[in-house]
Amino acid sequence: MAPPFDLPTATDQEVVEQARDGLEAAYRELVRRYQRPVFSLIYRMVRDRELSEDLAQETFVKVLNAIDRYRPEFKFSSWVFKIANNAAIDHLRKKELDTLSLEGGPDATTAERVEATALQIGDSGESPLEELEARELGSAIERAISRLRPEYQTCIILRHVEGRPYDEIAEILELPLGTVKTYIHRARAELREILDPLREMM
Amino acid sequence: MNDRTYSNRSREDDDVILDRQLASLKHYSPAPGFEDRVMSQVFPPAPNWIRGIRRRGRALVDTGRLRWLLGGLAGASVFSMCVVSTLVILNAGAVTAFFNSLCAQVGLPAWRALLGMTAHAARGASSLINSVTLSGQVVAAVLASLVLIVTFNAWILHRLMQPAEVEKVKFDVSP
Repeated sequence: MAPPFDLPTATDQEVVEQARDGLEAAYRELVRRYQRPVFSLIYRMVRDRELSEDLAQETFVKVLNAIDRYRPEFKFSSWVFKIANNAAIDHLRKKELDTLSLEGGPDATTAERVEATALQIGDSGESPLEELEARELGSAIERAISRLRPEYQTCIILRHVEGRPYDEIAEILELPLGTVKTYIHRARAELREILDPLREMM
Repeated sequence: MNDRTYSNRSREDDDVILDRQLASLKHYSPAPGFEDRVMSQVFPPAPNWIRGIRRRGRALVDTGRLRWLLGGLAGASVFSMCVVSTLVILNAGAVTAFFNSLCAQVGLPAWRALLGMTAHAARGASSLINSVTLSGQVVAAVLASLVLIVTFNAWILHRLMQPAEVEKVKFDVSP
């Protein structure tokens, strides 16, 4: 049966309705629309291509298999980003439990101790995938974002890369609107602090 | 005052630079085939009408109306059976005549046709067998083969039905 309208020009709600009616093309359209934003958000947070693909895939499988439970009074994009963000945060929490920080061990209080416990990277030969990751995430702003807290990262990415309004970010993160505004303000301040020395060097 | 103005301007300049840097952030794409990989794990949804029936069924159970529906159906069946039985009893003569005429006009001819076809097939098979003349040696060979096949099968069955022999494993404990 041919769809009653053109899927690429339809709104998210209309595509979701078609997906609920069992139209596979509608499912594919939703993946096509959100694969890049979702992957970018997760990739910037976990900074590993393969893992990001797995988490993005997990996000879409979860979303599409539960499409019947989606409530149309919420934005579809908010729902997708919420699940993606939760997947990335869960992974970071799990990782935090069993890995050392790149910035040094948790008990490192002196500069020498930080240096001694910091992981040495870049010495070993990089695989093509690692080279690609280094190229993609190696710019000053990308590195600065990676040093922010995960909540700040999500806020900055959703606001400045995805162009999402504050209220939608608040809905995605399940935070009050004021908190989101504070997070973005603080995140920008931290970014400026991180980037300022680099600007002076240039 | 001048310092403050300078500081504000510097902060604004910083913001402009930061905004420019943030605006330079781009989207990344997953590896090709991502869409297919996702779709391979998505369960195909049931057609809408099946889900509609399921939804209605669930609603019937949830609201407790299923018991009323089943009770109503059972009651209606019993009632209709009683009505039919009463009608049959009251018009026994007419019903018997109707079935007799139905048997005479449809049932009996159909039965006769079936018998005729069966007899025809049996006659055909019999004439086919009669047309084949086998010599005594061939009949003896066929019978001998049959006896051999039966004996061989009996022997195989006998072997298969034996309990499995327990193999005694001797452990070598020498160093």
